Amino acid sequence: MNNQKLKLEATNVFHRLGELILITVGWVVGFEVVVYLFGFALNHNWESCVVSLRGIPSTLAVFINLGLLAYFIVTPYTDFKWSIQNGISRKTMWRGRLLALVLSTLVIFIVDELLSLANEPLKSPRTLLVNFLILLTGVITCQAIGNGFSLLSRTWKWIVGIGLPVMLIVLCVALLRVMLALDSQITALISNQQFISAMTTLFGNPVLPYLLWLIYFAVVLFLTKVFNDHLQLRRD
Amino acid sequence: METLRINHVSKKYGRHLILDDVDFQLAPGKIYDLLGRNGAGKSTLLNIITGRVFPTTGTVTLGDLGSNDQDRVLGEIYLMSEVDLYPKKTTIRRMFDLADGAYGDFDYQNAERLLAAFGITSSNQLSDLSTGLQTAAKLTVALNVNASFILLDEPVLGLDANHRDLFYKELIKAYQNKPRTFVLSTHLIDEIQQLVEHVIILNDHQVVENADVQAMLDKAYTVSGPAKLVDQYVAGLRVLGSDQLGKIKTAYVYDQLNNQQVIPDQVKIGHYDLQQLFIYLTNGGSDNE
Repeated sequence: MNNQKLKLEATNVFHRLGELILITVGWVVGFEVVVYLFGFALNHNWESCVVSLRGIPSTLAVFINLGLLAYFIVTPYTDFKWSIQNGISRKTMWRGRLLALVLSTLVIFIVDELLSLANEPLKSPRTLLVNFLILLTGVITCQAIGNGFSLLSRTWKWIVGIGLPVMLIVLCVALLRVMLALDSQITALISNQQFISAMTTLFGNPVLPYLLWLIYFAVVLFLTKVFNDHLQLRRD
Repeated sequence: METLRINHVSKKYGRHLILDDVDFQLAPGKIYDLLGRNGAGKSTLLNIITGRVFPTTGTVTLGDLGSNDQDRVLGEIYLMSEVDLYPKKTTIRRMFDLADGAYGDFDYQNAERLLAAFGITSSNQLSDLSTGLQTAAKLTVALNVNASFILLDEPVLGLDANHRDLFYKELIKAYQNKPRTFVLSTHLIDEIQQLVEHVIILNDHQVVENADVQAMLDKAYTVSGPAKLVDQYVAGLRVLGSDQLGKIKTAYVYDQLNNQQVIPDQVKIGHYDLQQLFIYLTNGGSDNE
């Protein structure tokens, strides 16, 4: 029965995400075709119109990705509600959504790459892997944000939604001020040959980016689980 | 089937106490009535039992398992609640499919029959229906889902008299076909008095009564007659309230009468119903003169 519930969770995501993607494709293609045909009707330049139409797959890829990211920000609470209504535990919900997230990201990544073939050659396997990991990381970050926001009431959503970016800006400004205040020390540091060689060795290491990515991914994944396990019906 | 235990559950929202050390059991195959005044915490309690909200303290267990995050336990409990937890544009057919996918063996045939009796089709979207028909659609799912504990929060909300009558008959039929535990939380006490076997009453955040209906009614006596004689007769008994018209007084006793005590000629003994008992129990149990 648990596998059945897992399947129910995952297929629900595919179903609703599929609907979202279809609507997105319909709007993007429809809008672009109408605009370019309207342009053609005005300037009668068929070649320009064809060039514009060839750009549709690139635009489509961007919007499909945005749809994927938005889906996992917006839906955690909605999915929690119908899941708990049907006796599905938070653990199964998390597992089902994670499975759907990985699979749907993979499918959308393949679609992206196929769409990009219209304008550019096939990328190397390493580039493809890196691009996939970047997309996957983006989507799982969105899920962590979505799960986190699902814990908050409407008021707190506003407070955190506005407060966090403001705090980030304040932090950046403070960091900049500190750097400006320490200008001479920083100049001395980056002129230091030993420091430069240490940094070159560190960042020249091909494993390091993957290690950093792995740590980030593990932290974000952990956050999705923690937030998910604390989901409950809100009173607002 | 195992007993569902609600063990010393308390719930606070901020500083606001909703439930205070609520402790009782739901036995298999019994029909319960969960009563309480508005704001008594009935819905919160049902939400805690089904893992929708976390208790501040206490646990809910089925056998050795806790209910908050275990599919096996949650898969044995279904709560039909007043709030609609389905995504917008969910059709009733989709609700059936979700119940079937999560609980297994959903009775589609009986559900379609019941829907037709309520005058709804399964292609209808839940959000497009009136309040009463939404309740009817949700009841249809609840009566046909494959769970051992069916909790019904405000099951007759918005239902007209005909549909309420249909629901009561279908509830009995569902219970007879497959005995399960039903918990009804409703304010229409008169209508469900004949259906339920056991009553749990919440008042002032706590369980103030947890007993079989018949056992409760057997202790619910009206003692009426001249005020002086009534007062003498009920002295030492638990009197929940009383009415007085001129010199004639009626005392509402909730206690076992002393069979040895002689009843004065002018004093009459009768019984009052569950609704009256609930009103007196939740008014603080003091005289209402």
